[in-house]
Amino acid sequence: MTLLHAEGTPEVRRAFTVWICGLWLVRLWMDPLIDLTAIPVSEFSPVGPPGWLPRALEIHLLEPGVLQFLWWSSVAALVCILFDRLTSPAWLVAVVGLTTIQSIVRGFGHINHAEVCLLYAVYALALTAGIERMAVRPANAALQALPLVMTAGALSFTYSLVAIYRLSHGAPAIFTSGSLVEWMVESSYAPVGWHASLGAMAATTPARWAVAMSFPVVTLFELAAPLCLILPRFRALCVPVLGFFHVATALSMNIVFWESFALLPLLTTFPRRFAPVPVGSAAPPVIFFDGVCGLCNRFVDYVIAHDRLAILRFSALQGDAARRYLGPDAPAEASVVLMDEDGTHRRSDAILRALARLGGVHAAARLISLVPRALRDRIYDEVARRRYRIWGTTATCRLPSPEERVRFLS
Amino acid sequence: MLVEVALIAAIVVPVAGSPPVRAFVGALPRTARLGLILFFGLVVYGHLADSPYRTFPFVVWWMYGVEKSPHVVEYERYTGLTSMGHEELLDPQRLFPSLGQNRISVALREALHHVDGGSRDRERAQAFLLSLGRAHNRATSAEPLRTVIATECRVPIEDWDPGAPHSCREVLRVEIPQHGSS
Repeated sequence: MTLLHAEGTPEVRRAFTVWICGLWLVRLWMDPLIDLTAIPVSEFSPVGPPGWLPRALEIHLLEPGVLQFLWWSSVAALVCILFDRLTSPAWLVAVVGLTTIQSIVRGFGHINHAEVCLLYAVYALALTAGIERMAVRPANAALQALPLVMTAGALSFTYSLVAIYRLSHGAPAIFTSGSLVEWMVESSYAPVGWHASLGAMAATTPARWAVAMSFPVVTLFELAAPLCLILPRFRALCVPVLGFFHVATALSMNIVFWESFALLPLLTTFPRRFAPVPVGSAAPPVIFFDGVCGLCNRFVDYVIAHDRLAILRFSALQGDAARRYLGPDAPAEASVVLMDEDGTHRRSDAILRALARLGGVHAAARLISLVPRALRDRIYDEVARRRYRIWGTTATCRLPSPEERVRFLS
Repeated sequence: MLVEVALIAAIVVPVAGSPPVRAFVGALPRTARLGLILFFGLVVYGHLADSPYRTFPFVVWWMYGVEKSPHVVEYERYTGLTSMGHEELLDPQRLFPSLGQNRISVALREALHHVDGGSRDRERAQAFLLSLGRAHNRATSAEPLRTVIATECRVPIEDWDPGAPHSCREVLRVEIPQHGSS
C-alpha cells in the first residue's frame, strides 16, 4: 500500500502548478466579471469572507473599477507564478483575488461547486510555497508532494461528502423515486445554449432504468473515492466511473463540471509522467540536428540554456558522429533526431521528448504528445519544409563554444 | 448529523490512519501538518455547518442529495420582443457569462417564484429581467428589444409525454426604457 503522489519532485510540483494556473486562466477568461455591473446591486450579497464586510462596503465590490482590479490582479498573479516571478506575493494575491471573485459570482442567489476544488488546489500550492519560504531547510519530498496529495485528498473527499449527504439526507427515497430521471428531464429544457438533451431522450426509453440503477452505484464509488489515494486497484475502477459520471451528466443534464473533471487525473499516477527521466550510467540522450538550419540551431541553443542538469548531448546530422550513431541511413531530410534509452525518435516525437527532459514547464510537452502522431508530424513536416526559407541557413555547421564543447559529440 | 459524522469517520479514519498516509504526514514540517489538518477541518466544518453563504469556500456538498419534490418538471423561458414584434429567445448564461454554471438561471427562477409574493419580490424579478434585456441590447447591434417576457412551464412528471405541448404561462413582462424616455 502506497500513498498516491507521496514521492514528490520539484518537476511534478511545477507541472501541477502550471496545470492549475492554466485552468484558472481559462476560468477567468470565461468569467469577464464586468458583465456583473449590469445586474442591480440590490440583488447582490457576496458569500464567504467578502460577505462579512459591512453592506456599505460590500456593494462597492460590483463597481467596474473594483471588478477589473480583481480580475487583472488575479491574472497577473497567475502569470507571475507561471513564469516563476515574485511567487510569494503572487500566491497571496491569487488566493485573495480568486476567493473574492468566486465569492462575488456566487452572490446572486446560487452557490454552485464547480470551481471549489480548483480553489482548494490554489490553497494547497500557496500553503506549500508559504511554508517553503519560511523554512530554513530546503523542501523535502513530502513537502514537494503536499500540493498534489492535498488536492487529490480534497477532490476525493468532496466526492465522498456528496455521497454522504445523499445517503444521510435522501436515501432511500432518492434512489427509488426516480428523482434523477426527473432532474435529467428538467435540465434538458434549459432555456437555450449548448446542450445535448440526452436526458429527455433517455427518460422515454428503457435507458431510464439503467440511469436509475446507476445512481446508487455511482454514489457508492463517490463515497469510497478517498480510497483512490491508497488502493491502486480501486483507483483503476473508481476513476473511470467518476469520469464516466462527469461525461454522462454533461450529456444528459447539461451540467459540465469541467473543473473537477480536469482534476481527475490527480487521482491517477498520471502526474508521475512529469517526473524527470532518471539518468543512469548508460549513454546520455543525444540530439542530432541539421547543423546548417537556423531554426534547428535556435532549438539547440534553447535546449542548452534550459537543460540545467546538462543531460543532453548534441551532434550535427552532417557530422561523423551522426553517421556513427545513426548508421549510413541517417535521414538527410530530418531536421532533428533524438536518440535515448528508448531508441531513436524522429520528427515531432524527437522535439517533444527532448523538451520533456528539460523538466518544469517543459513537461507540458508530454501533454502535447497525447495528440495523434500523424497530426503532429504533419505540422512538423510543414515547418521543416519551410525552415530554410523562414529561419535561414548558415554556411557551415554550428561550432560549439568552449563551454559547450563537452556536450557536443565529435 | 450523527449519521453524517459516522459516515465521514468511516471514510476518513481508514485512509488517514493507513501506514503510508501516516508516514507522509509524519515527514511533513510541523507547519505543513497544521495547515493540512486545518484545511481538512474546515472542509468538514463547512459541510456539516450547512451554511455555505457564511462558510464559502468551505461549503456543504449537497448535489442531488434530496428527493425531487413535487414531481413536477419546471423550466423558464425568457423572450425578448422588438418594437417590430420580432421575438428573440434570451439565454441568461450567455448574456452573463460570469454567472454561468446555472448561477444566473437559479437566481432568476428564485426571483420569478416569488413574483406574486409582494412588491419587493416583484421589483427584484423585474430588475433581473430588465438586466437581461439591457445586456442583450448591449451585446447585439440588431434591433433593440423593447420588452422582456418571462414564461414559466410546468410538466407533471407522472403524465409526462415528450411530444405533448407544455402548460406554460407568462409570469412577468417588463418594458425596457428607451434612450430619451424616463
